[in-house]
Amino acid sequence: ITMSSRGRSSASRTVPSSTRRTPPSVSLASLDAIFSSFASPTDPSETDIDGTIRYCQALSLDPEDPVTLVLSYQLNAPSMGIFSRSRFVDGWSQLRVDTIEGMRSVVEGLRATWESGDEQLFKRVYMFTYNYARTPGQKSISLEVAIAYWTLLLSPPRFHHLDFWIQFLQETRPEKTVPKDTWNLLYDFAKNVDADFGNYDEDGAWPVTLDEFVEWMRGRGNKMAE
Amino acid sequence: MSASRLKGKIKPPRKINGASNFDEAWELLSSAIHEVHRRNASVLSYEQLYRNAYNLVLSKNAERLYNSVKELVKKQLQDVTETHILPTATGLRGAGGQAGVDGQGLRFLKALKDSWEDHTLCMGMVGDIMLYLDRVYTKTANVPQIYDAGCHIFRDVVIRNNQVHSSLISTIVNLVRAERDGDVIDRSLVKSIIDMLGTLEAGGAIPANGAGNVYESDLEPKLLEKTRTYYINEARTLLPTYSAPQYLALVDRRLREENERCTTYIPASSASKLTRVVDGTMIEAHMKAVIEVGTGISWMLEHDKIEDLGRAWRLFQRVDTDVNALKTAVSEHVIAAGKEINNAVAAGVNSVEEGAEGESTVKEKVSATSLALKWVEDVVRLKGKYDTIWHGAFGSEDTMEKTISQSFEHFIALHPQAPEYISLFIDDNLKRGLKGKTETEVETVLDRTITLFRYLKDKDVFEKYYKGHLAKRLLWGRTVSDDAERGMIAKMKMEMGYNFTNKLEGMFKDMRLSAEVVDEYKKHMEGQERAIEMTPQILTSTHWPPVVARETQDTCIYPPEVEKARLSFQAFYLSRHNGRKLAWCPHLGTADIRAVFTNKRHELNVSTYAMVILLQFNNVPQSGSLSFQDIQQATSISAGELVRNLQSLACAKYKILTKEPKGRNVSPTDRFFFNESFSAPMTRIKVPTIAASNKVENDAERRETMKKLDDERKHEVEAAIVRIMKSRKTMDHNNLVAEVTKQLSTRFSPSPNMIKQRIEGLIERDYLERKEGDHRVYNYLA
Repeated sequence: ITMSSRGRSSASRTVPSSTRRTPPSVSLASLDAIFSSFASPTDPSETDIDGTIRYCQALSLDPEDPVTLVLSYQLNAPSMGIFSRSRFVDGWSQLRVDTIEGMRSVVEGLRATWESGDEQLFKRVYMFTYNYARTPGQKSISLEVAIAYWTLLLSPPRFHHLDFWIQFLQETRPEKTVPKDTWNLLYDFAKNVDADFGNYDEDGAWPVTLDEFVEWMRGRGNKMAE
Repeated sequence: MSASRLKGKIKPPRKINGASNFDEAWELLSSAIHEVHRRNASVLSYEQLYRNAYNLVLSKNAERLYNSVKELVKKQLQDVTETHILPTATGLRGAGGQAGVDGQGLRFLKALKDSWEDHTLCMGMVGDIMLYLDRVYTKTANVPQIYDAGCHIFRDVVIRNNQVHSSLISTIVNLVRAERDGDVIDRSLVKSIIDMLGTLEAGGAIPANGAGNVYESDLEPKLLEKTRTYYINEARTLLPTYSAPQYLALVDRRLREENERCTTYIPASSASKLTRVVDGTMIEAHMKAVIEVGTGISWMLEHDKIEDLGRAWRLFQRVDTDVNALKTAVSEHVIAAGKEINNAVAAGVNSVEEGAEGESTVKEKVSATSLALKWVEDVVRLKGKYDTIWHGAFGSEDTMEKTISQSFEHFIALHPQAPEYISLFIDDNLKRGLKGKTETEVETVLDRTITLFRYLKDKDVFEKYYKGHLAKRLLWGRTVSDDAERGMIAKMKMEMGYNFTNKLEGMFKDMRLSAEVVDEYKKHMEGQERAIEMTPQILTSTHWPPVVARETQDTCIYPPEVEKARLSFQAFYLSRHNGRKLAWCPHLGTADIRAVFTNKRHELNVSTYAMVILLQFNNVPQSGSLSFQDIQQATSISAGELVRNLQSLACAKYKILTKEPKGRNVSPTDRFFFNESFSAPMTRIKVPTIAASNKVENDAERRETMKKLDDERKHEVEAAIVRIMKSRKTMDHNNLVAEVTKQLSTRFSPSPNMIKQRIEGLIERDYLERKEGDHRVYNYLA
């Protein structure tokens, strides 16, 4: 519980602060009603997978579209395929949107920002993804899930060595899970470390997995040079 | 100044004008100077001469007079040079030859010395005559006084006469050289010449070397140059034929000689310059060769050449302030010697393992253990050797001690079993070795061992073994001297602090308290019927190594009489110590039992398990047998322990049991018989349990030990990280790693990678987080 609340506070939404107060024009009741139409029959405080898929369809959004992940970040979805009623209402009311049409246009706006490669949004979505991808009740994500999201988020040019990284993990620790620390720092690594690792600092407090990856890559490079 | 003062006085009448007056007076004075020069001064009237000079000065002829005197002296000295000095110089060759060392050179120096003495005497008198000139004229005109001017003339006309000059320099230089070659020379003559040169101002602008006199400007540079050539040649000639110690002794002697020369006839100011030449040409230029030559540092260390090493230490310091070249050589030699000891043990272990096929495992272990002891003995001996050398040759100097210590640390670290070996060595000394050794001898051995302990990088490994070895010594009563045991613990406490020995002391405390409890129990049981005398030892599980303190999964069904005694004690103990839990460890105990054989009664000292096994045979009819399964079922002793104990009863030296089929090893299908016909010369027999005493671990045991240790280390690293972060709250990665390493350094050296993994583990478990925006900084999460 502490982890997710901390996650929320550190990843502040991309909403301008002037819109934080709920203007009178937004109807919380309408938002609540929209949510209810997708809410889970067993737990009306959340949507289930089915409701989430229907909601995406209503927004003309493919559930596997990366923008779905961006929207999930925007609405602070607790985990994959689930929206929470309170966070849903909070999220949309902050954006002063209370209709499906309005939501659709916000989604288009998010798509535009996302596809422009906006670094701030990307970083926040990336950091958000770990908890989001986690199976509820588990501490870390499996390698399989991590690879799926990395492929979605970190494909070149974001991370030059993504394919090698995945190969490295599959070869050296196939049964392992990916700790949050490694997930988070891979962002810094992909962003700041040169493709030839020339500026990689072994004493730079990188997770051991990244140290070993760099070593593994250098070993490959040497083998190829021979 | 004087002129203006005279203005107010009445002047004596002037007879004639200045010019003719000068000629007349000079005539008088110059002839007088001639007389002085001819040592005929007694005929002269000083008063008259003085007055004439005085008058000339007053009549403004001072300058003319001054120059005329100089001119005259110059002429006289030119004359002396031609007639007296040069004749003695002819035949002297240039500086390159042997000129000067024969009688002719001495005659030349003597002539020079005489001329100088004459000259100074004359000039003293002339100076007296010209006293007024000196007083009134020289200062205002800024020229030297007459006497000094005479010295300058002597310098320029005599000393710096080309032929005299070259003869003089080469003669002196050659004399010094002859002395270096072993000749005896006329030191006082040379000294007076050099003193003369020392009193003569160098003249001209002061040169770069600051030379103020003729010795410094004309002779010293040549002397230094020739000294350099001399010693370069000497080193080149002698180095190939001399051993390093001989060579160093030579250099030492040369330095002494040069210093001595500078207290007798060469100015003291030259001492440091000359010895620096020796330093450069004989030490610095050849230090590497002297170190590396066959008879160099390595050889001296090998053969304990303390005096020679001391000399090398002293001499090398002159050119190499930190003596790094020597330290490197010492370090290399120590490490090489250490590696040899390591290799000898490794080779021994291999041969033991090769030869062990078909041999009993007991023998193999004993040999491996004796090799371990030999390793420690050899290292201790090496340490003793270097203590002596360090003290005798290197003046107990701190940085050299550090060099030697680091070298020991280095090769000891190369031997992964060193901690185990050292603990075994102490074990051996505390139980067997003490016999026949005096207390002081033991003390010395243990002191040395502690030094080795100090060199261990991973003290926690040692602690682990020491605990295991000590436990066996205590439990099996193998300790010979309680004082020696405690002495050892006290030494370790001094090195490592209270924490390190805490648990070891706890073990001693347990032994003491056990004895008290048993006493109380005996009092408590007084008057009651007891089939068995029982002496339990009550051990606090956290003080003892896991092998001892493991919660005994080895359940054992005790024979009824034993069980009764056990329950009786247990009830007694728990009534006194409410809330405690007693777990029985039959694998650690022994029992004395009486056994009746056909021929003889014996008292057997066996392990608790063996006792339980033997008692089973009480219920077996004569010549009946029990199968392995029978025994296992009746006693529920674990298979491993059962095999081990049956082996010691049926397959070892004392065959209390016989088995079918016969053989060295026990298998679960065997049957066992009580050996009625057993007999042995002694009534009391100790049946040893296999693997009962402290021995070198085999590879599997060692892997197990290291694995446990690794887990403990992970805990220690995490605890250290949390401790540090709790007080610092926030800290960057490198500082945290450094601090953790520092805090743990007394126990072991955690690798940075290990620390990093622990940090990641703590992040994972929310003890730490990375700082937002800088992943190299950690925050502590309370």
